[in-house]
Amino acid sequence: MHFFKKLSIYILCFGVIFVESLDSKAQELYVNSEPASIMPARSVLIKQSYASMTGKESSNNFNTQLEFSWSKKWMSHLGTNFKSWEWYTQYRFYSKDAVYEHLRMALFFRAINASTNAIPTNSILLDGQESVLHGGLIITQLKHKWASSLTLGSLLKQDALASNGNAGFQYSFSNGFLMYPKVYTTYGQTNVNLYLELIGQSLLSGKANYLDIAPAVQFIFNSQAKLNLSYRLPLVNQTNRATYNSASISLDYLFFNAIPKHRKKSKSIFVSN
Amino acid sequence: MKYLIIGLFFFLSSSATAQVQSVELVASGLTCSMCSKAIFKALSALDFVSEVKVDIDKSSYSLAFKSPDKVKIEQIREAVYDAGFAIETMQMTANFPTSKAIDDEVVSLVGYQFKWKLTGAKNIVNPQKVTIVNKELLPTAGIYYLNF
Repeated sequence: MHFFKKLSIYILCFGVIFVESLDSKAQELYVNSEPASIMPARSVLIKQSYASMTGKESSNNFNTQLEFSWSKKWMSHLGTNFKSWEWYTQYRFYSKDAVYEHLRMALFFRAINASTNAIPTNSILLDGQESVLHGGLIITQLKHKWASSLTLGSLLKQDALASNGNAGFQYSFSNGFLMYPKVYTTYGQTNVNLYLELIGQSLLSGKANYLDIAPAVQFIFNSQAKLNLSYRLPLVNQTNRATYNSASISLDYLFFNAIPKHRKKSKSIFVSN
Repeated sequence: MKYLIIGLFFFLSSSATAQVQSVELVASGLTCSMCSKAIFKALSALDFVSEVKVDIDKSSYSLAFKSPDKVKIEQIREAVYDAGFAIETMQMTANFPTSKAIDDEVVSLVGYQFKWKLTGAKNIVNPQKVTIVNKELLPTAGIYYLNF
């Protein structure tokens, strides 16, 4: 009953956002997941985030992340919370663009290397408490007033002693909407975006599942800096995770054209004079 | 001899003014201002571009040039694609060295070979705005096709 109450709140929120979004445009700069799109080629992003996690126990997590895009199709992230390291890379292999819309697909892989092991749980923790390999597929559709993204991935926990299974699936479904401004006029306008994301995990053993909901609000300043506020809570929680609620704040700044371009010599399409 | 000199003068003056005044393009695949700014920054970083005017809402960009005789279409295309997006349409306003555009005829301009792709022939009124009609703005066997 508790689950259906939460689900009805979710559907109500979703409906309000959808109706509101009919006059606006979509956004795919998700707070809790990556879209299939890649950052602009040769750009660098610095991100600092803080999460306060609560549940049966409580903990804090500071994370610093550096993101690079080597080309229009390939980007990498390097992150640390000072107890673990994370390396993430993503390759966009499909892109179909039209005015105000696109369909994109990308493959991703990430490795989390934790220096200390968390208290064993029957789920796979992706916040730096455990060493995990994670890879999969992202499909993102932007269509004027609608930006949705589906991420499907496999998980492998590097813990041979995991009694509850060390492999599973991670998936998310993300939606984003631009609430303000209604009409773009300058890059200086502060943008306000709303996001609603569903994040789930199922272990192969079938012993543990969760489905979290994560609403978020995002402010974009000068079309270059983002402030993200998000709250994540479980809709379904068949795990013994020590923390399952998470309030997070993050700030990131994008440096365009930060990596110098190595320009190849033009091909011979010029007329010889 | 007098007519030869006058003819030569007109030939030289028309060649000297054969240049691209501006390029207008509409980018596709984006709605957000951060995405638009990525394209704006990439276009502004091109060494032959002097100014980029943008209509964020319409995803359209208008480019002016420092050296109108050194415009490089493939670099403009690459800048937009590297930012992560595509080009829906690209138009070019230029002074052409000829007064008539005839289908399938080649015209040389700022180091490029262009070929007219239109029905029959049309009079050129300089500065003439033309559309590059190649699919995804990629030259076909080194040729860009123009229409107006």
